Amino acid sequence: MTAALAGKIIAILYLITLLVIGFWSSRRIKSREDYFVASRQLSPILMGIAFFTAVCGVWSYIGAGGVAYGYGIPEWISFITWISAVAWVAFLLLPAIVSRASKYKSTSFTGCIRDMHGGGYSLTAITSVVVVCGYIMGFVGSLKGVGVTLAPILGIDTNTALLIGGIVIVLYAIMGGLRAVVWTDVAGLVFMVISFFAVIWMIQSQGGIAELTNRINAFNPKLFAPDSGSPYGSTIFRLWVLFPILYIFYQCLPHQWHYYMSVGLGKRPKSGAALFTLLAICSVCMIPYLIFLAMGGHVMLPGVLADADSVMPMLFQTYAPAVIYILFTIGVFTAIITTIDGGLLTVAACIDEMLVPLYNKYGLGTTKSVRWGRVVMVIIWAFAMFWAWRSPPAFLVQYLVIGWFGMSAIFAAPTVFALWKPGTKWGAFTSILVGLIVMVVLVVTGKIGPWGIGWLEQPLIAMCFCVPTYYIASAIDRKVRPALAT
Amino acid sequence: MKKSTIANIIVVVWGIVIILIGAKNIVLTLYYCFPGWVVVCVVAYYLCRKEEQEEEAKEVASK
Repeated sequence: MTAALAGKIIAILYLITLLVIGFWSSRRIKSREDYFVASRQLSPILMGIAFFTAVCGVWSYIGAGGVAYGYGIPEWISFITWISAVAWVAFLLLPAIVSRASKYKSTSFTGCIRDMHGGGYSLTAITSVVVVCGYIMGFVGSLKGVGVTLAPILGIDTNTALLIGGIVIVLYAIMGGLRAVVWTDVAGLVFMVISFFAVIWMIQSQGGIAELTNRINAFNPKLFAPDSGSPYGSTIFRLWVLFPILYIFYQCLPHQWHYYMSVGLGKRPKSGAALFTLLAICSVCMIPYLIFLAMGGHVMLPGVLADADSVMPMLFQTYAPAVIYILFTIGVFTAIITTIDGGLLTVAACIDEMLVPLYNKYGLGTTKSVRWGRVVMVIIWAFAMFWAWRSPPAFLVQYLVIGWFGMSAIFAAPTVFALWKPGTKWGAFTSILVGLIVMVVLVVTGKIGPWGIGWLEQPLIAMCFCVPTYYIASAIDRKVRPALAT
Repeated sequence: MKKSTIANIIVVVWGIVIILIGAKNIVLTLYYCFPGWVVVCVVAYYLCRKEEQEEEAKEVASK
């Protein structure tokens, strides 16, 4: 049997497995809570693995390697600081997040913010709109990635692969909700772990970490000691400060928050949080090794690559056996779909939250409201599929990262800060609105007054506006409506 | 001091140590970052688990 045929069979079996998991999960759904948060019954171990695969997206496998090949150490700083931030939030804040979400029976990111601030449809609406706008470009870019990675494995054209991959993703997510998303993430773990160990094996085959470091240094010392933090438009020193701060608040990105609030910690929240943290950070810990290997691409591959993003596939193609290269490609495909499915469910849950008043008005029971939740998911998916089909979104990566960092900055106050000292619903509404306006102005102009700023500073500046606004507006709200103060 | 507080301190301090080592030496980080986090999380789990068991035992005894 050839490696190509083996790859085809593995990929087809994997796609079938995803559908079977979706079908199996669908039989256990009886309510909206079952569908969107699996009734918070999934163990910290399962959720940790799911979080592991969800945060380890295509950027981690392909994009980060490309940036590391092109610019060296700045991308390394990004992931090293990410590890600490994931651990701090997952370990220290997880019990508080789960406790709030359980107390209010929240089934969505939007619902969680609304319930933590005492209700309010305007807050539900603005949160959901920001979430949809922030994610839709991410879905388009990721779905395009599904087509690009699946096409060579199945030996078909990109758009057909996009159609097949896209339909499988939406089918299992529609059928099984969070339970299906989590179990498919667990199934995909196999390929991601194989890819990681292949990376370690390649580093060892080059004489180990120390030896490869010496060779990279001899080739170009600037890769380890650059003058600036390109491509992030900042200095190296600022990156070491900016990244840890941004990554702490990056954890309030809606789909990550959705995972956090769905963990079934039961009666042992602290030890559960430790288990979740252990598994969650494994993903982020893997990436520095990939980045290091990508930097080694300069001495391991002949000549200079025209497309830096091809460095990881090229390294696997050159150094790993054909089967491992195919498994790596399936691993990349897995990394993409594990990010899309969680995101799709999160966005559908947020929009569904907006429709709850309608469900109540027309007296729809639990079964019918779940059905409408599924319809919402299909509409979002169809829109993203259509866009991905029509346009190659190569320009999206930077805007995707700005959008996601931006979104986490906008939501920092009503999530992380609210855990510490909650404001009022109008405080939350105002801070999200102000954050949105500041973020749009910064992205469009790239400036505050006459000063140009790097794109990593943009979300941080938006957050500097949002957080004081949250507390000032809440204080005013409490003055105007004294009942709130009590 | 409560065991969970000690676990919190360990996790936070190790996060800072990783960043400091990362800024200084890429080789040291690759050798210690991943294995280090596994050890830190296992220790944190053990401490939290022990505290929770003690609290559960106290609850049972008080009943």
